Amino acid sequence: MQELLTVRGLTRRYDRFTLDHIDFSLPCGSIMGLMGDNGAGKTTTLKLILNLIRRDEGEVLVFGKDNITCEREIKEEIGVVFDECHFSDLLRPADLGRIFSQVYQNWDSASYKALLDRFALPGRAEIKTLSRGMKMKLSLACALAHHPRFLILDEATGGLDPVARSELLDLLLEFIQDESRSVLVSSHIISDLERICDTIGYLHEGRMVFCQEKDALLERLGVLHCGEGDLALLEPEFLLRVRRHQFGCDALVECRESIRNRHPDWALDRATLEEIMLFYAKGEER
Amino acid sequence: MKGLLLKDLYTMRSYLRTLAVMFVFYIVLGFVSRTSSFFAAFVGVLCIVMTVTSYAYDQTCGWNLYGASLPVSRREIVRSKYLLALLLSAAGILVTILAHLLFVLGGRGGSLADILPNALGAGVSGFLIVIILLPVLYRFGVEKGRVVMMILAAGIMGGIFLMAQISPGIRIPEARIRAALWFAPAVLAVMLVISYALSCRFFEAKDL
Repeated sequence: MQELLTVRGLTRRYDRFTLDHIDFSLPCGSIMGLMGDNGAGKTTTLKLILNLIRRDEGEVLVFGKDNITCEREIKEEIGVVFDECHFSDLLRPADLGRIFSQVYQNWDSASYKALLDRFALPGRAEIKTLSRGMKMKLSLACALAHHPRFLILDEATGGLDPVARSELLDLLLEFIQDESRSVLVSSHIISDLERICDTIGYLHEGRMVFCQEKDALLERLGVLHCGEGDLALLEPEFLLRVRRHQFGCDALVECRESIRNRHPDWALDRATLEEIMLFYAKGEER
Repeated sequence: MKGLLLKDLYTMRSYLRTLAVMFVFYIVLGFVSRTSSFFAAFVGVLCIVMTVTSYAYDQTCGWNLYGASLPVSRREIVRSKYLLALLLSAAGILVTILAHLLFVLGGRGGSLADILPNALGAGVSGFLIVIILLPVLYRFGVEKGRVVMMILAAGIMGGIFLMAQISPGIRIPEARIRAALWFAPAVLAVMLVISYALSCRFFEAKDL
């Protein structure tokens, strides 16, 4: 499968934080979710891909081209939705249509108008009168109307009500029906990522802990609820992280089915993405 | 870049309407009081205030972050601000010419020969201050930039006051002033190039 995005050794150093040699790739026709706690480096990664901040090391290829030397060409085919609406409150949706028609070569005014109608956004209302959900939909309309191949969303669903979030996620699934397109989405709302993503990347303290296909990950990993005695019996190569509490241990394990076959009486559940994240953030290695 | 300029003009739309009303008010006031000298200051300040306001709007809503994710270079983003200042200056000059014409033809004083120098002086002085201001804004942002500009303005005014105290009787011949004015466009062009280069350098180096 052709890769739309390739990130190799991406590094950015700050005084108190380093995004440390991040590697991942995003195939065409797929949605990748970036998850991680606050300050893990999700937004830094997205900003480096968009060349909004300078990288110290590494390489970013979008559509097979370097994101710095071919920046303008690449950005003609990228749509971006940030966590906040960065349009002046005094602008109107209709103004944005006229502005972006002069910015993007492929801007489709008819498509923009259709999106405004679909999202029930009044063209002549000032942006300051729109709710947060409506502003997010407006950002999405602006990101989609030039028919991009790559959509980047940075915490775009945060602060939206469940209905608005569901609408936005449905739109992403619709967008990805064209297999030449891809979506990279970062979010704290793990259930959203579980719902739509094909691949999940987990960032923790500036490092990519894992980047794997979601279904395979969830099929492979499990949560073992046991005491210290049973934990000692567990094959070490299966144990990823453990959290101890007053009643025993919870252990994040891989090869769930193998463990179930060997120890059918153990309390072993499927792991959710949220649990995986908590284990890596709060758990110990042994 | 046309899109970026449109964005600024649309953002300031209601402000421009208020200014148009204020300008009509000042014309009427000027007619009544037979004074037109404040037009020059008004137009000069207009150029400065509106360019800084435009930059401040961008900073408040985070437009620079979003703008840099578009297929426009950071240089184009900077260039659009200079173009905005240039357009505001040109508009100010035209409006000043119109106002002075009304004054002269309405018999409220002044002469036709003074219209163009007054208008050019007003527009160019405003633009000159903007090209000093913009690199400061790109380097320090609006909040710190205001402080820097106040320090600069205090320094300039202090320097002028000091010179006046030191050399009260010195008078520069008008012919020399007129001769020096021939070099003004070249000096302005050089200042513009330096200002633009600095603004681009500061903005391109910035993490957004």
